[in-house]
Amino acid sequence: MIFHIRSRTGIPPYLQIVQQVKQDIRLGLLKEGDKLPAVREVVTMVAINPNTVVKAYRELENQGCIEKRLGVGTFVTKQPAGLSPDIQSALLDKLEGWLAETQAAGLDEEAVEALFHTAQRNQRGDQHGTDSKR
Amino acid sequence: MEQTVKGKVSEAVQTNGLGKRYGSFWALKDCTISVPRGSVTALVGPNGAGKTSLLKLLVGLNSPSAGDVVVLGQSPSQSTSYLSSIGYLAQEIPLYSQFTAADHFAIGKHMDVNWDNELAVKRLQELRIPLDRKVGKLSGGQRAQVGLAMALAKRPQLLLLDEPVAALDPLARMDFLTSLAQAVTDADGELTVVMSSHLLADLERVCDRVIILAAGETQLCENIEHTLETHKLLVGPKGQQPNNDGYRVIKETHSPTATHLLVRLEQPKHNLPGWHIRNVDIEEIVLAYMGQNKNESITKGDVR
Amino acid sequence: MNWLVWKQHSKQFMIATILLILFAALLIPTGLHYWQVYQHALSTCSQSNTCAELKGELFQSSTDQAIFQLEPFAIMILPILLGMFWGVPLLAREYSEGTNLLVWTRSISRRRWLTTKLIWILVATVVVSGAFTALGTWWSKTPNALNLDRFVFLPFSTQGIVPVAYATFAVALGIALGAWLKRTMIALGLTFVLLVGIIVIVVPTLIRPQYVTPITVTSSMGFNALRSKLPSGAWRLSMGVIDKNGNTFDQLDFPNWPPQCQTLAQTQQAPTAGSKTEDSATVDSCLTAAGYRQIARYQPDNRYWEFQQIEFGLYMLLSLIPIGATYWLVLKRDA
Repeated sequence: MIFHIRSRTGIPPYLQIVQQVKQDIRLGLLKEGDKLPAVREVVTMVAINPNTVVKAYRELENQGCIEKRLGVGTFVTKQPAGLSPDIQSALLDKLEGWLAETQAAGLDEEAVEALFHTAQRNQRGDQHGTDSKR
Repeated sequence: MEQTVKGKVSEAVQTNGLGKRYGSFWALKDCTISVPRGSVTALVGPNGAGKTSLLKLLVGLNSPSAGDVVVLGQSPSQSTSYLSSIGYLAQEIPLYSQFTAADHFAIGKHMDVNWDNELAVKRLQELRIPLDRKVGKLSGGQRAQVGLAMALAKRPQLLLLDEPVAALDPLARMDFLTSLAQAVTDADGELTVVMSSHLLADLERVCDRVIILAAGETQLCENIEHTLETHKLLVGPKGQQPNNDGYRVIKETHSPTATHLLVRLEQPKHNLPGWHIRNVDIEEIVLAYMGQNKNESITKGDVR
Repeated sequence: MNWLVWKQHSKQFMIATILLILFAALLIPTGLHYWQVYQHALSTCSQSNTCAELKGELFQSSTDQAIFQLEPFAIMILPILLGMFWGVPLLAREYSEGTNLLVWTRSISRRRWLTTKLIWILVATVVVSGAFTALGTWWSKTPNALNLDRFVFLPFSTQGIVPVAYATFAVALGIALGAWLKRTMIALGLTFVLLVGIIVIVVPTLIRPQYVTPITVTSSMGFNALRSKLPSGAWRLSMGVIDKNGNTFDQLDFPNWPPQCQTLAQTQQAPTAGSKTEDSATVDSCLTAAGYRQIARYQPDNRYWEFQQIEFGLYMLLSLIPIGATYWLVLKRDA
């Protein structure tokens, strides 16, 4: 597996690793029993602090995504239940339809992103609102 | 690989009210920092903030004008026992331009008690840097690697790097940081690094702690992830006033339509009523702290 | 550490060695030749009793004259060159290229680093300047014998043991100025000015004459009266005239003469005191009768080695100042 660490995101590098591993598992690029690169390999690959890799792997281990086998390496455990392919493709269809609409309305990529993020925030805000009412 | 768990209680570096004065000018003032063993610390701040002065005090090249400094349980000195535990790469990477890399390693062999020649030679061979060419004829990136090898092959416990990547092109910079990160990995928690730089974006990945020096004073000294988690940009409608509830405003900017606050939160949180929260990278945070100081000095100037 | 010093400075040492070989290649054959010619001339002149004229007869060709001037000049500038090109760069180059920070953060103390460097460069200075000077001193036996002037400024400063002390001082001064100024070019200029000022101007003219109280000799007026009282090979410091009240003059000008001698001179021709003409004898006795005497101060030739030792010691002691300053600058000053 190949990691990409991007600076200037404000997302701590360890979190970027965690997210990338989980995403690769979700997309089926990493399967149960696959070996993750050793800390030194990751360090060499992306010029990163080894403690960051250690922390990311520990986080992934805590979340049950990977397990450490002493002296052998770090391996992907089980796939998270995830979405059934049916639901996934249904959602994808909807999103593609929505994107077609934005295109028809003449929105550019940035505008689409802004819309998407606003919707996400509204969603979160609503949740928060219900939380605080409690 | 459990570096963080490995127990060494004492800090690698501990300063208290440290200051350095040249004539009547304080290059460094009231600097109180601590650097845990095994950490990689970024020392950032504008030019003239005292980064070089601080590093020279830590190496023992200069002596402090005020305050205390303890490095690896000793006070910095010119003694063999102290110097052999410190690796230092000075600004602009000074090397003897007429000497080859091998000549430089011979200096280490003659002058360093723990010199690991194999390590030095192996590092350069891996990078395909010729050992028998005068270093004056090497590229900037290669010279930086020779300088790093000189510091690392001493087998130091504390490595102090003064703007090591400032003059390097992006590729050489990445190579240098890779070498550094490998060295930290190989040392398995036995090596502490303090590296000054003003190229902030690079530091985020290699360093796990950050010290921000501005206006000759310590602005921040903490874990870099904590810094990223607690510093956020709050965006709200124009005219909205900060209520300073659970956060401290570092930098405030107003556009015709919105108010932007760069804040330090007391607790990491993802929600603040009335504000949109955005992540900020370490560069923005550092710039905000520097700007804060600039504003202060302007205000002081106005008062006078 | 010794290895590093050699590695850094072997080139400078090689250049000095090559110059020494070239110098020897010029001085050894010419020195042998001049001595032979001189000995031969001496044996012939003693038969015809014309040895006093040898000085003006021998070695008058332009080549010989050039060599006779080149040899002391070379030894005179040697300490200055060593101070500039060995002393100054020793630390100034480290400072200006920042390599002091590289070596000061190895595992040996700055004190040891500096001491090793200083010992080697000073030993090399003594050896090289000693070799040049020994060669020059040996070569100078012909001009010394011919001119009997080894005590005057240039021969004294370029023979014996003093050039070695000059070189030691010059190198020490160059090192200290280089360490102080941290920039090679400025330190080179200042070193040159100070060394010329001290070695060529101040010490020979103001200090050296005072090492031992000079001998004073007086004589009656007249051209040869005083000269005949000065021993050969003496370093003449001053010549003048003293009146009966003890006032001294560099020269007794005609208007200051007593009237009776003025009148006497006017009746004769060429009224100058101490002129060579037969007529002036009476004028000289007139002045002598009026209480005027010639006076000279000199250092006799038998004080030559005493002076060499005093000046050697002076410069060696003087060298301690820049050496001490260098230690202070390296060990105590902020890097």
